[in-house]
Amino acid sequence: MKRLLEIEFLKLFTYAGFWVPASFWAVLYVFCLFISTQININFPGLDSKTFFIFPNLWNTTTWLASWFNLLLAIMIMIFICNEFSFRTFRQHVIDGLSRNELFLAKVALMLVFAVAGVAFVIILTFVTGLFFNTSETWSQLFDTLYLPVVYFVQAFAYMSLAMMISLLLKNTAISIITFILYFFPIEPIIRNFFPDKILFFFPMKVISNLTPAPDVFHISTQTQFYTTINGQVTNSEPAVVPFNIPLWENTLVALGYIAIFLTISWYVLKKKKL
Amino acid sequence: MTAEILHIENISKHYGAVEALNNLSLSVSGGQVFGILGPNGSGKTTTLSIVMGIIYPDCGNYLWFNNTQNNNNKKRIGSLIESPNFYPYLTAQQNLTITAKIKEISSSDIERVLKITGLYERRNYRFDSFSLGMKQRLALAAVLLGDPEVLVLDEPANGLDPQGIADIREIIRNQATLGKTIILASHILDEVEKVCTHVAILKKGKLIKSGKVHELLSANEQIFLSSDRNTELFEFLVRAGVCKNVTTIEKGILVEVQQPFDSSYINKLAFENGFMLNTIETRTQSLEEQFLKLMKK
Repeated sequence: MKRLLEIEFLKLFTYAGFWVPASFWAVLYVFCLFISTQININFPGLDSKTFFIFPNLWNTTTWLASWFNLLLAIMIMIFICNEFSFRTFRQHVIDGLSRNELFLAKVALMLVFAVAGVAFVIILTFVTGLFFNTSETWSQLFDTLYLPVVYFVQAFAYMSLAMMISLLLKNTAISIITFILYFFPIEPIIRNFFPDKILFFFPMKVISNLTPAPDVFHISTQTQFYTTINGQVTNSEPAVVPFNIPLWENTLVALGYIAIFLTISWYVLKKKKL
Repeated sequence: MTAEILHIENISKHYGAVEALNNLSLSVSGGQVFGILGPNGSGKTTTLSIVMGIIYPDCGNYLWFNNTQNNNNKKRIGSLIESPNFYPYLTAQQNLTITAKIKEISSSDIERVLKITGLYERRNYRFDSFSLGMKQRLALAAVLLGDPEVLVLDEPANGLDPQGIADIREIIRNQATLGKTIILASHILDEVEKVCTHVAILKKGKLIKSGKVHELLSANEQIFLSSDRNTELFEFLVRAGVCKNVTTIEKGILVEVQQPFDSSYINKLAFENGFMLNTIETRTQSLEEQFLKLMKK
């Protein structure tokens, strides 16, 4: 695995197609987070600084980071489609890599991107936390620490879908357009035809729900929040967000989608002419 | 006995309705320079792509080094199939570093292969700045990385100028003298005749001829004869039935003899039947002439 990652890094580090989207990701994220800290919401009972106090801060930073997951997916689509257009997948097999190794190399790269994304989110959360938290609120640091983990699952899920699309289509532009169109409007339109019970299990819905927007209502009232799914009233997790389905369930479904995307990708890579 | 390097057994491959290979069987032994000949679409590249694992055959199988198929076999092979495939934004050196990592060999060998292929001075230039000939040389450098036992080359002289072609031929010859097994697909017949010891000729996915190059050439030797009575000599030779083919050409007669008859037998036969030959000379058909003849059949 180490050798496979070394090979992937050799391809990346001098490539503008990596540095440009990666820099955009980091700069835009920092920029948006900074802007959000400067916004004052004039709403009765709500102090906008509450979004930057633990444990709410994790929700804010992971939600903001999720806006830019598309860039991670685009990077993966560029790299994989490049391998087809440069015919380097084919050359790697000729030189001695197995098709399984080609697959594992890309999965390892996606894991590295997801870990790097999470690390960046954690660093920015701590830096932001320094400006807004007191010793009392720092003690709530660990209350929602599962959110960066969920963000990791989300980033990896988007990249897995991107990998599957690019292995099926083999063309960078067509893959990116397909991914974006599926994200919006194809899946939202399809979801309209299904009842609530089903629409929450569509891939993009499941993946995007992993990092929902900070719950303004709950933060402002600091009361227990209730959600209704198909007529059933359920008690949501305290201090976070109005999940459509419980977060753990949503995460499990997302992991299931990841397994499906990766299995299809592996099968396509195994069977297709390179 | 030399070890068998590659064994291909009854491989067939279809692309839709097109039959690319039909029950192809071949065997390549250690130390051979094995040429695979055929016109465009005859199945040369498909054969090499199958044995290098890029495409799967519909049926049949192949075996490298008498081993079961595994990727460690490929680390003993250097291969160039069709066109050079590298990352355009990386330099020659960086591209070869990736190849070295895949083959699990030391990067120190890169300098050696760049020198052999004459690219050492250009090692820090990006691949997309290279001419077609330089790209081909870089591909050859990648093939030579790690000093593999077997070289598989598909049209290695593609896009090269005459000097480049001569250089590639020289490299192939040098590798052959080092005892390397070389499998070379080409439609430049002159090239194959000059460097190969063995040859297989494909037509529409079928093997139509294979064997040692010199046997193939001598099997169809032609003898040019002339005497003062060419017309009578021609009729006599046709009647004698020792020749496969007798044709009258300008100032003489061209005959293709059947084995085991040769030029001295023809000379003796003509003399005993009252013909004094003014000229008798053996003419070997070039591989190109033989190839074209086979393609017409």
